[in-house]
This record gives sequence, structure tokens and C-alpha cells, in this order.
Amino acid sequence: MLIPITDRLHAEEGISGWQVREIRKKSLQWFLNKERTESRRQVDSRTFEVEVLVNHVEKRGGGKERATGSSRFVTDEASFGRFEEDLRSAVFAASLVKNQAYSMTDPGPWVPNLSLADPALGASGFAPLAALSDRIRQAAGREAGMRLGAAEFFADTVQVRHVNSQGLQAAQETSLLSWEFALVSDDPSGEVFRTGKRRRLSDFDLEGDLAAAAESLRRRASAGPPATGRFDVVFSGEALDHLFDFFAAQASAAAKYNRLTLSEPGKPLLQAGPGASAFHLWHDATLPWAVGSYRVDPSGVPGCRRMLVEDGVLRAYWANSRYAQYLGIPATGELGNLVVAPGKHGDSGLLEAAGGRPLYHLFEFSYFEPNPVTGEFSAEIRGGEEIGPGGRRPVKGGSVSGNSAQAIGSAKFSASTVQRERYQGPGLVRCENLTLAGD
Amino acid sequence: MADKKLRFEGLKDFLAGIVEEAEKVVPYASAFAMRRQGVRASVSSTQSAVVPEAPWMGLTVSLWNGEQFFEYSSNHLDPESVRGGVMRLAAEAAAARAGEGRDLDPGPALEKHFEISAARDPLAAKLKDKLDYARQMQEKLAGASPKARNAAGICSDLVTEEVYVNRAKRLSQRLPRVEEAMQITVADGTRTTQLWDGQSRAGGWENRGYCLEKAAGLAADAERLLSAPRMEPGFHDVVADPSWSGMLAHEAFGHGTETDMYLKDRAKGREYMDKPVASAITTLFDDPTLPGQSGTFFFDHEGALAAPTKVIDRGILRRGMTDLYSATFLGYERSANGRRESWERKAYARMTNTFFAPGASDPGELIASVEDGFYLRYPSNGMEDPKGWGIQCEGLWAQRIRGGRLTDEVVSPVIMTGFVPDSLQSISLVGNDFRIDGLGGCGKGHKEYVKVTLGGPHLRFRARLA
Repeated sequence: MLIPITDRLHAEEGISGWQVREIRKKSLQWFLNKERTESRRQVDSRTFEVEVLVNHVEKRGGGKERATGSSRFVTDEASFGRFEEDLRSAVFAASLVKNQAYSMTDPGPWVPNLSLADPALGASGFAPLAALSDRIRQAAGREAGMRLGAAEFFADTVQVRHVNSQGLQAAQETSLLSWEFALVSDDPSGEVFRTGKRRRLSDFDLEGDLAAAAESLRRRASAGPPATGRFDVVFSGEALDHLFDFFAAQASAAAKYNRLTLSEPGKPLLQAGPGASAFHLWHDATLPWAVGSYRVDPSGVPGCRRMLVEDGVLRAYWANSRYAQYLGIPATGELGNLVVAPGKHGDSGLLEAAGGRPLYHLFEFSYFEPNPVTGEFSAEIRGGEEIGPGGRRPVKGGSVSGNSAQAIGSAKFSASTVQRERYQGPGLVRCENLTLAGD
Repeated sequence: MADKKLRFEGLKDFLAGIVEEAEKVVPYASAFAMRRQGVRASVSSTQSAVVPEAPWMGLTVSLWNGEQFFEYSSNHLDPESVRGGVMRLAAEAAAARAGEGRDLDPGPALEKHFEISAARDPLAAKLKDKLDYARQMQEKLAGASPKARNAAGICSDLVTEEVYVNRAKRLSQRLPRVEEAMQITVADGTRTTQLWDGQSRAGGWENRGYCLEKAAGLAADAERLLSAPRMEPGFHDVVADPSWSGMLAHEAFGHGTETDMYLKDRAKGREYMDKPVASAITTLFDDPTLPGQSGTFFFDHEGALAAPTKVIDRGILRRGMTDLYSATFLGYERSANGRRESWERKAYARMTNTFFAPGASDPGELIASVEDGFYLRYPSNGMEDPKGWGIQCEGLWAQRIRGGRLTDEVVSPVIMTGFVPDSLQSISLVGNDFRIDGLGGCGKGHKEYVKVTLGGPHLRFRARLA
């Protein structure tokens, strides 16, 4: 079906550019309800995402200016009978819109040769998921006073063929293993819920994750809320997944073009405090097997690595093809993995309280996502510990609040690093003077 | 380009045949199919877009072997391909059956088509009119604030058509809805902030107009946030507007009474059935029949006919929201809450329109009753904790109340955390007003997005804010 679609688009006179992405997806899904298998699902789909561009010449001031309208639609085998109608509708929609001119992505000299598809997930049917189900039942069974509440495993394989009017032809195949599980205890409020994604089956340490969850659940049984006030906080674990999102948003060409950020290249995104670690940030779509890696992004741009922030100063924007053209900068592709340079601090030093005040080490939250425009963050604490002169005690409940620029401006980074779904960087980040609301 | 043989309009009969054939191999089978189409038009200060979403359709056939479901989902709607895939899976399901298992109740026989009426059907409205309306919203919003860096008007519509078939039922429904939203980004040279508002309604374009009336107020509120400090943490008396009340309803007891979570030992609600969990003036509903709301439907994705569920009745937890599997294993009466994100996903127990019932007090009385506290508006997000009964609700606006009057002091953002029964037991006044804005949706954990609405009256209660 791809060839008839591209032939038809080549013949369409009313458009100035087009791209088609053929997406074949196979998803195998396995659901455990406590120990029982509740269901297993197999999902197959094949869709075609079609985008069209229509150029206009606009009279502006005394001259003429080129403008571009775009629109898109998704079609599949079932809708193919109405392809002409959908195409006409998209071309008409694009003709109504007059944005700054841009074109489809030119073919690049190369695309990164990344392996992103794990044969162990793609070729063996339900067998890998059945094995994971058995393993998680056994692992949960080894934890005294605890049991499995639920678990889900998804094995997705996606093949994309990408063709556009500029002559670009690209293909990529990816796999993704997604999981979630809830471990519950005899404590009436005892639950730990974990989620994760990896491209390779072998990168999922099921037994290790479950043991860590069990340890967290044991800690929570005797946990209480933190104190109220301003304290130093060390973030680790799931906090790292989004702790640096504000800076990625400030380094977004789309955000710049749409005036959602005041950031300027060469200007600082934060004021570094005394003793703070140097803050360097990269977009990297080329990390082997990382969830945020890709060969080509949805606009056809090859994956790459680009420094966005150096010593707290914005150096470059990440940009898909369209926004790169708008700002006149090199395209990087859509945001891939976020890489943060590690610091020089040892883990134990970062986890020491100072000045007679307690320190909080926080690693589990209800929902932790800083506001991408303001950088403000607030999150309910589900797991952490208070480290005080008198010792350590587990905490849960209450909230931690702060501002991303201020928090990272004061932050000390560990020398140790972790690789999470889309984050690679220091495993511990110690921020000064954040607000805790507890007792 | 070849046309396919299987069309959505003919799916009911085809799926009935598949179900009949599958039930020769497994004890119970059902089928669900959906088609969605609509348009999204947006105009901002920097660009505009009109995206007509072509029909997206697919189906799921569920095969129950007495112990577990085997499900086949596809958008390859070639009859032989579907039949072959389903029957291969049915053979696997039958082979995996270990004992007698449980029967699933197909419910009473019914063949019916349902439809939400739309005076101006979304599929008949012109693309240009939708873009023009988005532009009207954008211009009104942009003109309302000299500090606007970007103002956006967005209008969209979606028509969802669904089919459900089992051995007793042949159901179909058509659910049109329209949404309008506006978002403004303001800056004062050093600080940037953003605020949004809008509404979603079941029906057609006769519902539009909300944003044009609210644009000036939204812009003024956004400007006030530029100088708003953060809140000092502490416990406060609060008055929540209907949107905040709705978030409390959804996060506090919505997720906590989805009965699939009961079955997994993941919700404390199961231990509190028929026990007090909120103050005696508190009543909470989940109601997929609420007229005009965009979470409204006629049957769920497992064939249960829609009806209101009174979750909390005058402070007592009475009933949960069920999907087929959990209702069967728990022995609960079914409610119409078995919902899928799409044909590609599993059905879970999910909310629909969830809200606190109105009470007896004028909203002004709630403000007047607070000596020192905050008025909460513009909620942004929340997160459930059904097992621990913790709660997290975040928003962008907390306005100081002193001496029973609203002051000019606004702090932002604001997070409310606490223990659900403490929050609900502290509800001391319930407004006699009622509103559901209808925007947004709901995930289960971190995925499985479905359209829901939430709202209710103004509420007065006590909460930990920061």
C-alpha cells in the first residue's frame, strides 16, 4: 500500500511537499491479577500517517512572502477506500493555514546505525511474557509478608518506513518491553507500584526491581511525614526521570518559536550557587539500546547527540525539521535521551546531614513533573528517608516543592551515574533549601 | 487502490457471526469495535493548524476460557484474516483451560442503536468555520493582555462510534463531542507563566461560546500569576471551586473505588464498603448518563448499560465501579465502567462523569464562612493512591480569604496532599451550585487514557497546602 500512496502523492498537483510513515505494530500484552493470569492480548496494526504541505504566496507590507500550510491524516486498510476523500480534506485544510514557510526534510548523508530491536521480544510469541509472569510470581513469593497485587508486561515491535517528497527514504525497527507491577503487603496501606521500559529483554532486571520494591515497602511500613520547613533534599530514583525536564523545555526550538520561553543562546538558564556542580546537558538519540534513541525522528531527521546546556548556559536548541528551519539552526530531531554530566561527589558525602539540620533523601513520588514553562515543581512524597544527627528514619506523605532553576543552581551531583528510561546522569542530586510540607 | 470488504457499518452482523463461531470452542466470546473521526483546529500567536482526523477503526474479540481472557485486536479488517486470527486464538484459549472455570453472564438480550443528538453535527460543520472560531478565541485572548507572549484558541470535535456484540446483545452507539480551549502565556521580562480554560460537551457545535466569554478573565488571572509568590506550607481552611472539587472527587474516591483495584488488593475502599468515609453532607456519583457531558455514553465496552452509581451516599461508601472481570470474581452487581482506551487496549474499571452532588449552601456563604484560608481555582493535575489513601492535587491558583472575603493576595502554584478520609471528613459546607468543565481525561497509573469528566459544587474543607 505504501507505493500506491506515494505514487498518488507524487501526482497531486495542489501540494508542495508530503511525507508518509508506514507504521506496522505488533503488541503482545500479558496481565496478572494477583497470581492469576487475567488476560493475554495480541494486537496487530498497520497505519499510514500522511502529511501534506501547501505553499501560498502572501502579500505582506509592500512585498510578497511565501507561507506554508500543513495538515495530516492517518489511514489504514479499512479506510483506504476513502483515501481520495481524506487527501482532498487534508489538502483543503492545509490551504486554510498560512504559517511561516518550511519544507519537508532533505535526505541526510547518513543515519546512525543503531540496533533498537531485540529479537528476543519479536520472534517468540507470548513465550517471553509467560516467562516474565512466572519469574515475577516466584520473586514475589520470596518476599515475606508480601504478595503480588498485579503485573502487566507489554512486548511491542514497531517497523516504520518513512518516505517524503524530498527523496528521503528511511526505515527503522524498534522493540519496547514495558512493565508495571504492584507489590502489596499485609500492612493495610502497603503498596509499591513500579513501571519501566527497556528496549531489550535482557536489560530488565525483574528480580532486582522487585527486591528493591520490597525493600521500599518494608521501609514504608514504619514511615511518617517529613518535617515542615526548608531543607536540603537529595533526589534519586524516579525523581531523576523528570528533574531536568524544565531545562529540556527551555532548550526546545518549538518552545522558543512559540514564545513559551525567554531563553536565549549564550545566556544562563540558572544562577549557579557556591559549591554547585557544573551543569552540562545533552540531547542524545544515539545511546545504544536506550528508550529515547532513534535512527530517524518522525520528521525524518537522523538521530544525533547535541550539547544543549554548558555550565548552566544555553548553547543550542533541540529541533525537529520544521522548527530548525524556522529558527535557522541545525536540526537535531525530536528530544531523545537527556544526558547530564556527573559531578565529583561521592554518594556517602551527598547523603550526610550538615549543620545540625536534617537532610531528606527522596526517591518515590505520586507524580513528579516540573512545570515546563515556570520550572516550579511540587510532588507528594511516597518514599524517602530523613537523615539527621540522630540517625535515619523513613518518610512518606507530605510534599516537596521548589523551582527547577533554583534547585539545580544549588545542586551537587554524584560521580556515580545511572541509566534510566530516557535519562543518563548522576544517580544522586543534592539540592539546597527546598520546601517540605509534612507534620 | 482496492477497497476493503469489511466496513464499520456492517461490523455488527460480522462480529455476531464471529462470536457464535468462537463460542463453539470457548464458553464465552464477545466483540467490540470502534471508529473515531474528528477535527482539531488551533490558532496561536505564532501559527495555526487544521487537522482533520480521518476515521480510525479497529476491533477486539474477547475469548473467555473460564479462567482468563484471550483477546485478538486488529485493524486488518479483512474478514478471513479476522476469522482466522480469532479461531486460532480460540483454540489456544480452549487448550489452556485447566478446569470448569467460571461462567460470564452475557446479560439480558438487547439489540439497539443509541445516539447522542447534535443540532450541529461535528462531521457536517465546515473546516473553515472551525478555524475561524479558533481564530476568534485567539484574537480575543491575545487582545486581553499586553503581556501576552502567546495566546492560543483550540477547538476540536470527535465522533466516536462503537459496537458491542455478545450472544445476547447487539449494541451500537454514536457519541459526538466538541471541545474548546484557550491558553495564554504571559511574561514580564523575567518570569513566564501560563494559564488555560475551556470546556468539553457531548453533542455538536451548538455548544460553542464558552471561551469567548471567559477570555478577558483568563488573561487578567494569568497576569496576576506573574507576581504570585509560592505558598508557605501549612494546614488551611479552603474553598474549592467546582473544578478543584471535581479533581478531589476523581483522585480521592474515584480511583479508590474502581473494583479491579479491589480484586488486586490495591484499594483500601473494599474494607470500607458501607462504612463512613466522608462527612455526612458528602455524596459522590459516577454517572455515564449525565446529559450533555462528554464522559456520557449508553453502554460500556463490555456491554453493560449505563446507569448512575452512587459511590458515597451522605458520607457512607456504598458502591464501587466495576469492569466485567472484577465484578464476576467479587460477586458485585455490574456498573457500566468497563472501558478501553481504544480497540488496541484492555478493558479496566474506569470512571465516566464523576462529581460531588450539590448541597444546600450558596457558594458565597462558603467564602464568608472562612476567617483565614484560601480559595482554590485552576487545578492542573492530580494523582491517586487507592491503597494508601494519600492524595496529591496540584493547581495554579490559591487566593487568600481573610475575614470572610477574598483578598488580592494570590499564591501559585499550590499542592494539596493528605489522607483521603481526613480531607473528606473535613468537608463542612457543600455549595448548591454545580459545574463540570469536561476538559481533560484520565490515565490508569501512567497509561490507558480515557475521556472522563469531573466537577461538582463549591466545597469547604481543610487541607495541607504547600
